[in-house]
Amino acid sequence: MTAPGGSSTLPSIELRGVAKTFGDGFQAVRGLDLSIRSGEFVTLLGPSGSGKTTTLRMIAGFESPTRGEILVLGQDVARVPAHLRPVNTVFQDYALFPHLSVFDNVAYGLKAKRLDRTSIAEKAGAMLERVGLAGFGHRAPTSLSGGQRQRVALARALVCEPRVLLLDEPLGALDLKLRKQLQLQLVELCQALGITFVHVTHDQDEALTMSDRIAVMHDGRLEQFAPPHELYDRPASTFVAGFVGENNILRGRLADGSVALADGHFGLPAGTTLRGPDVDVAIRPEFIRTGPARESDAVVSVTVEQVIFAGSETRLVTRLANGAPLMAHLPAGAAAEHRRGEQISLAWSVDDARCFEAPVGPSTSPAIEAGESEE
Amino acid sequence: MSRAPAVDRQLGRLAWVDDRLGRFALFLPGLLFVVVLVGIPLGILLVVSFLTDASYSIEPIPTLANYLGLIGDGVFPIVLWRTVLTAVVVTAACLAIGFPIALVLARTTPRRRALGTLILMVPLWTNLLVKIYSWKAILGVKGVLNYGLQAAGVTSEPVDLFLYNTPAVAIALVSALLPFMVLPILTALERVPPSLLEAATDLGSSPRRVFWTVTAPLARRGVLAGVTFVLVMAIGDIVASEVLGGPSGILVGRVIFGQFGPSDNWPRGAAMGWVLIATMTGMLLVVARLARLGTMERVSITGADPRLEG
Repeated sequence: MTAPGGSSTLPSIELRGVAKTFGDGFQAVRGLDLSIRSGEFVTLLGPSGSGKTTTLRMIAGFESPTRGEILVLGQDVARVPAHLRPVNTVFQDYALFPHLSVFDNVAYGLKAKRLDRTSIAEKAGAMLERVGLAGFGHRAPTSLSGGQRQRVALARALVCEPRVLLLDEPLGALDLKLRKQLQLQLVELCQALGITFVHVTHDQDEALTMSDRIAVMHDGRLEQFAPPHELYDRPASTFVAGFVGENNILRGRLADGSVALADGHFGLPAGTTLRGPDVDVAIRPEFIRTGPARESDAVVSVTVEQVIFAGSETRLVTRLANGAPLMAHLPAGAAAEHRRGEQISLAWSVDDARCFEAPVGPSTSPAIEAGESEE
Repeated sequence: MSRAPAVDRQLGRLAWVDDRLGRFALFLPGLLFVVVLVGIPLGILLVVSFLTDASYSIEPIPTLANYLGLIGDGVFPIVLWRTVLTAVVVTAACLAIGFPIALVLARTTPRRRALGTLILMVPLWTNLLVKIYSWKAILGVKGVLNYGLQAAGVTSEPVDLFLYNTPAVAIALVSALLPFMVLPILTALERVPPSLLEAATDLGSSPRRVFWTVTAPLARRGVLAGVTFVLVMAIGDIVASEVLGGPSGILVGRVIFGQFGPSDNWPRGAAMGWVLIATMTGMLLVVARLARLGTMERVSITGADPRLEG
């Protein structure tokens, strides 16, 4: 992803200690600090119930924070009602007005601003053309396909020329191919228009491919706010390690500066300082090797449970002596000789692994599957 | 072995015929009910309205005298006009009171909505006559209203202005018919997704504009249904006029009732009935036309746009 295009040094959106507790006592957001630069494409990523949509709704003005401040373009918006904020939203269910034509849907915001008829027709027409729906103006929204409706919703928001566009899982209801296509279009639009995009999704692939920076949320808190590659290479917590990309999370104990797993010890990655005693070791499947190990490598012995051929790579599903699962992605051919039930050694360079303080209480780290699942 | 396509097509056609027959069979009892109990009596009424009245009996001699007599009669047009006016005022009042009630119920918690709907429904379980009579106890000379006014020192003696006039009839009709306005509007409003209101707000509409551009248009069908219910029932009123109307609050229903009862002039009563039916149909056509006006307006705005969209 390219660098943010905004020239302004003023953050586009700033959240300071924002918290939201609903009437029924549910704490959706528990103290959130976030500073989003102008022109940046930021994704709020997290599982359902992590507070990402509530955060978006507070920026839009549909919910008011219980605590904290929200600044849009440097202005505290606490007392600014939703209809006067310089932001527009693309809703998850598109929320197109069924009693208005496509054109009138797009023109709705311009009419609210009391523009004259000629400029309304001009701007709405140009925006429909931009999203590839020229000639669809007279149609009823109900007669459009999901992808077309989504583009009407986008045009309707963008035609108002907001400084910030909020997107609430805008691609959630579309099929995979269409989603990939629209992902690229959204990123292009963000770059072309110089508008700040704040996008909410639970789909980590979507977040990784589209965003300048990703804010990973979990249980109403911010786990990490970083560019995609940093999130992937240097996750800040067990949760991020497990949620973003595929990862093996192994629970170990810290003793004398090294980590003890089910069998064997190995050193901590360079620069890691942990108090322990329980630690989580996160190692991505692609960093795991068979074959000869170096002195400094982490080595574990496992039982092969499944060998899955996947074209360019072979996936080994294995289990440690203590029962913990370990997934390895090996180059095609390298694992061909392995059989189910076989005992083998797997190794990785300790600097490829990430170690975290284990979360207190029962292990909440998502398994490999959780990182891939949709909900 | 699969059947030949032609056979399949034949079977398909048979199934289709069968399906149509099935649907018609389901439709038949309702149709019979309407034809026998509504269509035939109305037909008889129509025939009778063109027959000659010969003091307490009907001569089978065709005549237009029953209709022409209504125009010449100085009273009937006045009563009909009063009826139409009262029905329109009652409907407008029901809409003005009922829409906000429906709006509040639609926006509140499901629990409160259920409670509110129940409170609206309970009066429907009570006989209309009882409800109308209860207004007598409120508006009458010895009624609650007079008692309250005297207690508050506004009046020194009971006032007989509240009863036996058209406003008293209208007030009673509004209270009795309000649920028929609220319920269809509530149903329509409940179907409006909250996200549409948020989208309208998000696009810069003040709460007032959200109401007029999104809420009201989407509640249109409910309003149309409610207006039709209330208008028809108000125009056809007999009881409220009889109990609360007095001489100055006579409505058409009561006059027609009189023709079939005390006056015993069926042909004249039948003619009045058909004039009322025609009036009501005309009014409903106007209502339907008004409701469509909104749509026409939108189409014309949109219709002008495609050429601008290029």
